Amino acid sequence: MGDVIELLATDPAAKPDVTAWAARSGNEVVSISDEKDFVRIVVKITKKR
Amino acid sequence: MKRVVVVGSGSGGTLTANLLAHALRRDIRASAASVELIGECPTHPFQPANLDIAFKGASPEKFVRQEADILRDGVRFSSDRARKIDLAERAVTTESGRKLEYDYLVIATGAVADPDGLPGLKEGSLNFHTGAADSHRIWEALKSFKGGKVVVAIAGTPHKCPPSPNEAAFMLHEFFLKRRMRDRVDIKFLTPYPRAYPAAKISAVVAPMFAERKIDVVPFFNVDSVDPKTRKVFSLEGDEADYDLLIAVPPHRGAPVVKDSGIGDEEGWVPADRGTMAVTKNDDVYALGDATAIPISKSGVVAHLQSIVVADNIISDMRGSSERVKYNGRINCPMEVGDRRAIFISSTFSAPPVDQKPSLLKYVEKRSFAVIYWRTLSGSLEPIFNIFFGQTRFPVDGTPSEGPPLPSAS
Repeated sequence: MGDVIELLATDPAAKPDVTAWAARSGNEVVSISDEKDFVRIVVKITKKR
Repeated sequence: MKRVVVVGSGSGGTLTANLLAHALRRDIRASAASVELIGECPTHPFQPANLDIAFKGASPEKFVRQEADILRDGVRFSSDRARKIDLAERAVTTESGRKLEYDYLVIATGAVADPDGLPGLKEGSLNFHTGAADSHRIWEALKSFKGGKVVVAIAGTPHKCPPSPNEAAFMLHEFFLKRRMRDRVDIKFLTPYPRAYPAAKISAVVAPMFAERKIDVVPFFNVDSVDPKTRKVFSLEGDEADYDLLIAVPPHRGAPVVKDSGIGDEEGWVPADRGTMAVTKNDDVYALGDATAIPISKSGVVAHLQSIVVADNIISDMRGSSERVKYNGRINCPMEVGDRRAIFISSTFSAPPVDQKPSLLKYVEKRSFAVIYWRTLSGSLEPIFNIFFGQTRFPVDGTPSEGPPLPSAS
């Protein structure tokens, strides 16, 4: 709980997919930012079984 | 004497050895070149048949040949296991104690499906990714199944043959329908992906078909463990699913020799250039097929198309040419959807999969591949494949293009 994961992805589909994953699993997307060749997504683990 | 050593005798290793032996036949006769293939097994299975063995009761022995019988003259084959690959020494050491020195090395060591990779998975599930005998165990279980919850789970990525879990679900539906017991069976499909199939356009075809067949898709289900006693599958996300029969795609990893030799990543995949297939920082070592860390389908067609690139680039180097070709990432994976229909998932690195309509023609195409497979391994059907696939190899120093987008298939 409370872990922060930074995800770097070249696949543009990562944005909607990670957002949907977080919504379903009850975790939090802290930020999504477009970098030059990739997208940077920061996720905070707020739910764990 | 130029020595090529190919490690691994699956689709990719076999085809590469055959292509090289044919192209170098004069050099081999003159003892100016050699092609040595080492594989763990004296036999060669047609792996896509595992689905037929598991869900249609096909006989495993129909889909296996002796490796020696599918090799061209000039390939020296030995059934042996590579223990250590030493890139600095340019040598491969085998289980039997042989040391094979090479001028060119091809790593085609494949992927290993490992049911021990997750707690409870081996005891709690059956699978069709660890060979024909295990696939046959699914058929045995289905024959005596009286009804209940059947769960198909993708318990790790990447795995061999991306469409195969979906095919398993479609084939289960058809099996129970034919036995007039579909109403007594719930079919659930657990996937770590956001949808029924990872590629959105393909998922748009598969999802409604699953819904129509009452195959219940549970997305974002990353299998964490299985409890065989209570018959439950647990996910990292905190969800669980009950089962009476669990058919799970095990987590995959690279071959032990890759890890033991320190040439792969944490999971044992070999880093290689997705175009030329050269292993990172080496110009005399190539990797292909399931063995690589390249994010592309672990499938026979990919191994096949990469084999041609590897053979071309090795021969080019041997002949003193600096010309190299690169693979454009073409995939062409069939997915059987039941009722004698199939779709093909086709894409390249620059063009995502296109829309599909299931058809009988595509089903026949998939089925016919089981017949011609053995001939494809000889390399003799390349002129036909060149027409079928269009251009899949491009000059490295040419235009940056990896070819035009694929035409929209109907």
